[in-house]
Amino acid sequence: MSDASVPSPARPRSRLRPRFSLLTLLLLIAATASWLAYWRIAKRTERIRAELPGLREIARRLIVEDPAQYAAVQQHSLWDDDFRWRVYLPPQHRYQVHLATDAVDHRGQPTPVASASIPPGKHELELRSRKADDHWQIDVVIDDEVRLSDTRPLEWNPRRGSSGASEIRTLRQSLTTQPLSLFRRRFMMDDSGQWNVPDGPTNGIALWIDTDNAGDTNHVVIPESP
Amino acid sequence: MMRFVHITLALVTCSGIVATLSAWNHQRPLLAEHGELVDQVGRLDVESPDRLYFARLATDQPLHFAWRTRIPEDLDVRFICQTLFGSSSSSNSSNKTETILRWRARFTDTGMQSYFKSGSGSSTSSTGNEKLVRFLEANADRLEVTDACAEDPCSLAPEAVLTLLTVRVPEDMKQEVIDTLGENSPLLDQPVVVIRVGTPQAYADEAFQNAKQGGGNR
Repeated sequence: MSDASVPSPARPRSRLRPRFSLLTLLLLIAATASWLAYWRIAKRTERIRAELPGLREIARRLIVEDPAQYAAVQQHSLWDDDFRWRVYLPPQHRYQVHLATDAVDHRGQPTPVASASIPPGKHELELRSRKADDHWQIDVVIDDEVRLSDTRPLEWNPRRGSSGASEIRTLRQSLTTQPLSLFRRRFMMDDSGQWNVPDGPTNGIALWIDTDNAGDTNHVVIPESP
Repeated sequence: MMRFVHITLALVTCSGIVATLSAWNHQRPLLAEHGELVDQVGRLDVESPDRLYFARLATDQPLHFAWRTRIPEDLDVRFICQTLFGSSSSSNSSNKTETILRWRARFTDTGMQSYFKSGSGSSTSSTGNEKLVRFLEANADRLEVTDACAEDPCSLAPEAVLTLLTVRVPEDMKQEVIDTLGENSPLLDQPVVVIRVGTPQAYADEAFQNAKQGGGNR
């Protein structure tokens, strides 16, 4: 018989049995919870990332990722002659908006018929082209103010067709070393009884923004509405 | 042994917290932009990437309708717009999955013009029928509008055709149409506009079914 007052030696099996304290349990819960939270946030971020390009395309918002570059986006057209853009002009330069209505070629900038200075920062531009009784009226509205205008005779646009339109649709950023071309449209003209868009310069509309070298300063200009 | 387990768990917890905070910090600007965009263009929850989705966008005029649309990648979809004075069809050739579909009418001194835009394609049509135009202009907000996705975003299986929008003269206005425009007015039996969406195969299947039913009824 064994003596109950004499402590029996610990059995080897009990040493191998895992023992959990309350602290172990709490730490286990905390570790699981922290990584579960991470997993949920990562999953949601992944979903948001997947949705953002489509949303940006739909909303056509002006987002400036590199403030040293041009940024431009065309607003959704509410009509076939509705051309509006939001643009961002970096603070390193001064700028000019140019409008040309003849000698518009496939690429390059023609001689402008009207130009206006525009400060760095964010702006809204709109191109309006309306046929009046005896002429065409072309206006460029910058921040709700008509800043550039041209009047052309009716034969300037025979309305037989054209090629080209807005050169910017979805958000685009580009270097200021090249002009920011917003719009280029070339009209069909009568070519010996056939209506074609000529290969070379022809009647049309070109609208672009370029740095104003004469007005450039070495100072950083703070944008009006960054 | 237990001390080792505790230290390991504490380290795992700490690294989990750091990773969570870092992920949250990374997510915050994206979440803010996402929230602003959703406020602007509405929510379009895509439950099945194989289906087409439409969510109506708010517009400012009675004859101006716009929808945010999501079309599965590489699915050839045709938008057909039939108005009183012409029809046009366009496809999602730009291969963008999300676009805005828009139909709008405007009244000018010379008549009524209709503008339909789907993705990168657009078309216009017009009529100079003075009486008809002035009647529609005066009664634009009384026309009967059936918009399949007016209340909530809706979805469409690729094998089906959806009549997204129908605008027509309601029954109780038809006598006014007869009095003003005569008994032969197209407004009596034709909608002002119908917009339908479907794949070429879905339209073909629908035409086949219609022909079959027409044959069966003979």
